Amino acid sequence: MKLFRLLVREIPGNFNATLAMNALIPVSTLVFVALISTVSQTTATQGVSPRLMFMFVISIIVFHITHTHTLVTASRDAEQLIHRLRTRLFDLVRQTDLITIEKIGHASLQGVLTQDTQVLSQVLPILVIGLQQSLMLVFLAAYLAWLSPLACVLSFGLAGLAVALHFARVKTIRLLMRRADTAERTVFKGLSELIKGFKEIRMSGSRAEGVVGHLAGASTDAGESNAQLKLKWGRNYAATEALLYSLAGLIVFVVPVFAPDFHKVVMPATIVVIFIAGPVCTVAFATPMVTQAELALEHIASMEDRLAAAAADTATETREALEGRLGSIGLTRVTHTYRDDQGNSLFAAGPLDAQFKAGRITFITGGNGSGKSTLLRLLTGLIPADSGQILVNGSPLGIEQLQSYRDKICAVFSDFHLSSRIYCINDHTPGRIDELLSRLDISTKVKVENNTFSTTDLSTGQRKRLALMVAELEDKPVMVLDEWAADQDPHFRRIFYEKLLPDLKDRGKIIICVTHDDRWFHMADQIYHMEEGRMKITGPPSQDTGQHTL
Amino acid sequence: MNLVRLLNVSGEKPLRRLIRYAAVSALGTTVILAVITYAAKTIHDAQEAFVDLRLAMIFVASTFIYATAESTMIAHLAADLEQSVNRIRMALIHRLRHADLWKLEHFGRSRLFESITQNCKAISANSQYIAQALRSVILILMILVYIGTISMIAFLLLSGMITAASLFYYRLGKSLEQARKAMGDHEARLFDYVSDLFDGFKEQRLCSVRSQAISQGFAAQSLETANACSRVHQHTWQQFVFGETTFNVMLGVVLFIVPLYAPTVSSNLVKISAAILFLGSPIFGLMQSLAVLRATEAAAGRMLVLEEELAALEEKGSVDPFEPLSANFSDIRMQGIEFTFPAPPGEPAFTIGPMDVCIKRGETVFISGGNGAGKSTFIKLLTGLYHPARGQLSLDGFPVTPARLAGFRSLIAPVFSDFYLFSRLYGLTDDDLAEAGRLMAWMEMAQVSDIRDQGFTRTDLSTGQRKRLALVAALLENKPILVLDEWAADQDARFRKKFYREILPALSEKGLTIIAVTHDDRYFDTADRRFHLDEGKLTEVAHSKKKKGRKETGSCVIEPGRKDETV
Repeated sequence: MKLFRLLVREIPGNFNATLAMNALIPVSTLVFVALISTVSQTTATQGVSPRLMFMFVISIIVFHITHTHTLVTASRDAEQLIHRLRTRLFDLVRQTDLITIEKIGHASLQGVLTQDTQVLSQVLPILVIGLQQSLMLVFLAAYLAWLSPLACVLSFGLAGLAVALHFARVKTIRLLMRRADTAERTVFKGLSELIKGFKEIRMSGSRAEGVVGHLAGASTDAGESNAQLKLKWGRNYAATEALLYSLAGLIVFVVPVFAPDFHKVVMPATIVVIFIAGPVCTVAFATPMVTQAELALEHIASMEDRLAAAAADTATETREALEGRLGSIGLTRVTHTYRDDQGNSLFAAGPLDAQFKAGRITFITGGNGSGKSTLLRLLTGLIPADSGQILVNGSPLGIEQLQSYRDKICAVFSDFHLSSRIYCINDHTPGRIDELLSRLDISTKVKVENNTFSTTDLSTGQRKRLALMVAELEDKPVMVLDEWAADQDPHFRRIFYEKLLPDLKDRGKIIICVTHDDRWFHMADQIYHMEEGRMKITGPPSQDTGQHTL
Repeated sequence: MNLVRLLNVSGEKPLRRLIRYAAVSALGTTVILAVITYAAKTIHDAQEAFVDLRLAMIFVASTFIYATAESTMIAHLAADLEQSVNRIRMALIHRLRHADLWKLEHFGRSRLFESITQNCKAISANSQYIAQALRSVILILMILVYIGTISMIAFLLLSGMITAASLFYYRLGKSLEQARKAMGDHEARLFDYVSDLFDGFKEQRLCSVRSQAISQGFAAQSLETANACSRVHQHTWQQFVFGETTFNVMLGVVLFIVPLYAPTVSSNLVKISAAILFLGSPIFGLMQSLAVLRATEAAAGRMLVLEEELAALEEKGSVDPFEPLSANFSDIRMQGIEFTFPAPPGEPAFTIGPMDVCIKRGETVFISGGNGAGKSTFIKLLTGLYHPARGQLSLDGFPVTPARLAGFRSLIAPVFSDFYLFSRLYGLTDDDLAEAGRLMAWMEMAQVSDIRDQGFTRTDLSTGQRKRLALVAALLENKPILVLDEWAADQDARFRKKFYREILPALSEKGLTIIAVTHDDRYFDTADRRFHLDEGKLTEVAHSKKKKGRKETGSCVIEPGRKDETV
């Protein structure tokens, strides 16, 4: 079993000790069951026996301790295992390149990191219980066989039949479950249409009728398939329970017909048979979880392999540091083509040639889909160029220096992410934080404590200001801003172009802004325009007009 | 009890029926127990193996009765609950349909979606446990009564122990809940790191320091989360094993203590032992379903509250029948319209307007303006989706009152910048289908998607392509006014040219009134008139139309101070 191989590889040494403890549980249970039947028969004739009572108490205590211990230990081991898997994956993701991450997709990566590990956390302890209870069943079967072989064969046969029928019916139930799920998803889809397309629905009565009518049908359908599912579920549950009750009926109504001496063991046999119903249910419940755990572990392992392969490729990027002052960065004859899975070209950018100098502001303009984001990604070394080179101070950048080069750039992308923690901190950070907060006109809304923003639940414009603040704190020689001002109100937009940008310029930074605000084009030292993946210089504009020169 | 209130939504009293089935099911189980122990004891006492046929028949009958009652109980409650959920869900959807856009946007769409879907799901998924919890309570009581008929002292001792254990169990549950809450917090913090890595992947790649800090933070948080999860498991298992041990102790008390005080019971010990073993299933079942029950009860409560909350979102006049308006209007007029965005504290409030526009039927009007100038708000005001704080929207001089709103909107086919493309088209006739084919070819989409069965065959396309389909859908509505918000922004240069040079003029030729928000200064000459929005102020820009003066414009003059002459 793959699951056990993985568990053995990942779980520390005390696993064996836990297994040994596990074996004590069925033993103590067996003693316990034997005592119940003995005592309930002998008390009438011999009275209460202190010796048996002592054994009884011991068996309860042993059961309690071993059971608690094994379960708690197994859960802790499982959590430690998950912790190790999780941190390993996380670090692999960190070292992987942007293209691989985008290809795998956030959803499936996050699914592995969060859902699959949660499945393991929930399922592994259940498997331990399942294992315990199946051991217990083996011991009980042996005991019952010793009492009466016929009773053992018949009752375990019937229990097996009950479980088999249960699993057979579970298949139809699963089918119904999927149907109910589909019906519910249709409702959710309709509901999300109603909410997302609300404006369109408000504009058209017939569309409103259509959508709501469709939803009404779907809602009734979902209700009916849910009810149908529950009907079958209830029947299956009741049938399984009834069969398990019949186990005891078998002992008192069928076995005596074939076993003449049965009257001697009828009491313990009845108790044992009533007792096994619980463990049988638990084992039946836990068995499918093996597959679940295996699936989750498999997801994690295959993701790990995939990421490890990609991370190995990027390992060279950290080898060499980039020394000296950054006077300029640039691109020469750089191209990049996005391809789909079949290798067909989706979008081709380049060849791109550009130069950005320290102490100068460059604006980049261009329509949607003209390749601005691709340009920024290539320039910042986030995606590799198919051909051409990144230039640093006029000479080509080696791949060994790529990470060091990236470390000299800070960026606020249009799809930026504002983390509530500020990660890049140095000694003079605290003083600057307050200064920046008030300069960015946001000190009344957000405080910073323990390097964490008091809130990030703000408008996009405000969150962009915080992202800019984080970029300022990093204080790197290159500043890339992608449509930074688009979400600012007119007042602050003016501050940005007329105060913040010139200030960055005075500090000798290389400033690269994607922008559409033609009103401020005169602030730029040079302007590139992008169209269909190519760029050309269209500025600098003449200082007096400040007009868009296309 | 919100669940009971929810059940009673249908007007009947399904609870009584539920209790009846639960009682029958519990009685069936109790009879099974009594019959088995009686039979075993008789065989044992008689010192020979024999079968009591009458007893066997009772056993079979009671097993059958149990199974029937149990499955009927589950099926009925599920059906009743599903009906109530369906009823409430549709009530919510009707409320939603008549909501006011502004209020809805501020209620939070995702919150709305989640509260409807998750609550319905929570109730549907758990309906069987609700029924079984009720049955378990009745069964526990019945088995205790059965024990009472054998030995009063055992009954009293066991009842006392079960009560005490339940109280203790409840206390354990509370500390479990605390541990669970702590675990939830840790998990949320862990997911923050995950999101910092994934959503901030580019930022992380650009900064080794940041990348390292995230990694260290994640590792530390992961360990803490693992410990918190372990604590939850530990509490869970302690609670679980406590339950089991309580049972074992109960058996011990019956076997070793009760006979000391009631020697006559000694011969019936096996019956009581069996009864205690029978108690296991309902007690553990009840314990396990408690958390589920609490969640379901809360979900029912939220659903009932949500209906009231949604009622407050209703747009005035929306549910009432509306006045249809003529498609042969002569002008749409906005007079002194102002709209103020409520400012969050510390921010300057943003007011757009006053805006005065008059658009004549058949005109092509462009609206230009930078980001945040108020273009999209203008579109929402023009289409009556937002209600102005001041000013008047009117058609042919008649103000668009709440009663006329639906009629007014039915004249306008929009493609918003944050448009939603419905895969289904509603109310297509055969004539429309022929037209649809022509439109799809015109938009160069015939190879990519198709219209079949009142819907597009594919909508999982690029934004530019989906916008073309949205335009097809808008045109198929056959409405006299077309409103477009940055429609061409996602088109490539070639199709953009086709849109401004071929499509818009042709639509205008057909008599459509076109109002388009656009940035494409290269094609401004396609419009008859252009307005520019800057910081919420709307001004008409004089410009020359390239084509020969096909239409006379400017005959509709705004007189800012003039009162509306009608109504």
